[in-house]
Amino acid sequence: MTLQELVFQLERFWSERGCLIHQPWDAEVGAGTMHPETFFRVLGPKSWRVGYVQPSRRPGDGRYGENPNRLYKHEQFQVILKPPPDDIQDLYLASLTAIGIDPSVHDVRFEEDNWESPTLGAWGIGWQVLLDGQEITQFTYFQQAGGIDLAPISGEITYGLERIAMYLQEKDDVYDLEWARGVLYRDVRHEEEFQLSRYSFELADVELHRRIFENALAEGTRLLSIEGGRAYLPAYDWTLKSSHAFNVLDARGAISVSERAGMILRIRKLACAVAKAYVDAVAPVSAEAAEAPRG
Amino acid sequence: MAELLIEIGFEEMPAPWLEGLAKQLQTRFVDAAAREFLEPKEVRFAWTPRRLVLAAELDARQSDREEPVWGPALKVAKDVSGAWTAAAQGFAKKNGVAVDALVQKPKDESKPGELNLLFVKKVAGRATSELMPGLLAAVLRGLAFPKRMSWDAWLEDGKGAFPFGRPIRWLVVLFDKKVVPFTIYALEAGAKGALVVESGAATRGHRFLPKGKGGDRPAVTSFASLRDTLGKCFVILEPGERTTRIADGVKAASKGAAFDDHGLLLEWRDLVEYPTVLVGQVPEEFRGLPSEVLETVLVHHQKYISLRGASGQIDRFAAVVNGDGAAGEEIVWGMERVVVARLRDASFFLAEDRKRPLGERVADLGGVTFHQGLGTYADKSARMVALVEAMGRRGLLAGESLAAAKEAARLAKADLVTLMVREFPELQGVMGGIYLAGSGATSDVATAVRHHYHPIAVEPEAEPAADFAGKDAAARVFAAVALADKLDTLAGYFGLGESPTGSRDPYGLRRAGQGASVITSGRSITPASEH
Repeated sequence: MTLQELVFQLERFWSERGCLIHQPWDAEVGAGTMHPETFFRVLGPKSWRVGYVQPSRRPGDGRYGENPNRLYKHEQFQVILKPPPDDIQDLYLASLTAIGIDPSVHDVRFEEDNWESPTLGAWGIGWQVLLDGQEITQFTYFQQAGGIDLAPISGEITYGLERIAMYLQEKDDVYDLEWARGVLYRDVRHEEEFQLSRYSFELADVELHRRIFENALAEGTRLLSIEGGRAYLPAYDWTLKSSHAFNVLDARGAISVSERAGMILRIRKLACAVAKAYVDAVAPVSAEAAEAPRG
Repeated sequence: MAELLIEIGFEEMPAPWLEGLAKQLQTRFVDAAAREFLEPKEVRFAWTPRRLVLAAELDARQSDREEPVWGPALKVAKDVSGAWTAAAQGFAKKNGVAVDALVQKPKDESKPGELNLLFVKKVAGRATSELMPGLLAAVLRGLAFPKRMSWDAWLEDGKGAFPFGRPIRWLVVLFDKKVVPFTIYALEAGAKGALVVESGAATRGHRFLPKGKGGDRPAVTSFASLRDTLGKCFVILEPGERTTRIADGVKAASKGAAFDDHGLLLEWRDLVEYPTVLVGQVPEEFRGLPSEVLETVLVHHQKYISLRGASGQIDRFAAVVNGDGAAGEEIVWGMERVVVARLRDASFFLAEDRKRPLGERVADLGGVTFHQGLGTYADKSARMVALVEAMGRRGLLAGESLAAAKEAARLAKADLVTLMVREFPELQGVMGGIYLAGSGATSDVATAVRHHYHPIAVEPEAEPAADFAGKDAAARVFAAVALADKLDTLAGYFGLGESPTGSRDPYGLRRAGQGASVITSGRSITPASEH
């Protein structure tokens, strides 16, 4: 199964189970959780089901295209089920069967692994799913996002696409993966990995990124105080930009340990304010939706 | 008497919690039963990662009992003429008896002269099955978890929202082989919603086995029938039986050779419902890696037990899987891939790191911030050297020991800028020791660097300590470096006003303080050769 076929299978599987299939968010994010389709949709009472691929940039994980497992940018397939159905684990396991992994002849396990995003003020309880000792999925019951307790909670399933594809294709090197028939991951992404690793470790202008970080936080904060509101979406985009600038600075080695905590806190503060603005804005709708019976 | 059987089925609970939860279940059940005037006998419990089970023998009804209902004092109950007052009449009426039928007794036995009216109420025992829902709610709500989660559940016990360790997915509640009704509802908009879980007689088998029939939901009638039924569904209910099966598997895997399980055998027991031990190979090319590196990957990252061959090298590993191991080869192939990928990384880092002596890396520490107010790790290293010199001036160590301690203090933090420690932070200190030992440093210096983070635990017996007074030069060198590191940390953070509080100690100052006191009290003599 090629990488793109893996994506098709997951999209089809979750589409058939009531998920809207969304597109990747067009900003640099570190994880599928940062996509607005997760960050906003898990807030408030309204039911929602969505799935999408999200390329996730982690500047500190860049290895110049030399490491067979580690990437500056990897692909996640993210599913949000809100509220999580009672058989959510069985659904997930059925999705593995759909992509060609038969759990009865492997060792598939749910091992405790709670998830937290300090910058988003979000955390959840859950597991990493291990396939014969390899982590292939993060499975989380969201408890809080943007510093707000969630009711209902959401089930989040995040598949690590490269890892799963490497397993299915029996490849030891991510660059040997077949993205499409006859086209290797190397052909598609290797040069990008090299250049972006080089950029985040050597070339990124530290002062520029400090300014981007400050300006992004300032712009996000300004947007939240606009007369009449309705600017939390661009404010969130600026939150994401501040977070990415932070990650670049971190990879560049420009952030000290103590400075680090303070910067994370500032991003989190903005993320929490954005979440609150959203919840306040949709509140009238929420009261109505809350009366609707559980789906 | 008849058997009560409770099975709480849930999504995978963290392994380290399970034994404690099962014991809590027993205690809370016995306590709650006592509050309902029930005396459970033969209380048994068992668990797997997906279920807690409790069984007990109980009477079908509470026994009938008498409850004292105290009325007014006699001096209030009778007027001066000796006639019953309205207060006495009212009390009698409320309890449905004639005033003359009431007993007169001292309420306070130390004052036998002061009598009160007393009504001895006969309470008929209620059926145990009627009491069960309330009792079960109290027990479920009473379970304490290291971390609870909201799963949008609601209990009809007047307390509403019902967080738990993981979502509950089924409940077996049988008394005398009959289902005792019990319901968990959804929490919707802060109120009771739809039904989520209803008690029944059906348990659940292994998720995937037997092949093609995984997730079977057979009905059971008793603890024995549950245990036997689960056995046929590839679930070993009794933890002791899982332990035995694991022990047999590991014994076969190790071929009788000694091994250190690092506590994994116990953890394995509660990670799986049907343990089978498989053995994977460490490819030849990685067997020469330092055993600490191999163990970090195998034990700490993968939860496998490392096994040594005849040569003494780690050449294979044992792993537990949740199943019968029928497709063992394919599973082992997958596990070996993960291990090889990590070991290949480690070999690469090790080779890269060895291209430059550790001593040269001390200069790089100038680029690593220790704390904004306390400078870089280069600054910290310089302060550690100065502290060791001060110890020399105090006569704590001299001559070759002093020289070795100064050298070790200078080098102690250098491994922070190696690739290995960036990748495996838990190997800090250890890697420094390995690199130094491999590049001609004296063993006193290498040992001190390796262990200088110790003692790291608050428990005094956990890690090696040191000795300034004894004859062992290595112990003195270690003591000096480990102490200098901790004193510098303590003085620095306290100097910045970053004192720990009862709930917050982000810089590990309590640990550092404890370590310093263990070292100076000289509770043990030498740094351990292994940790």
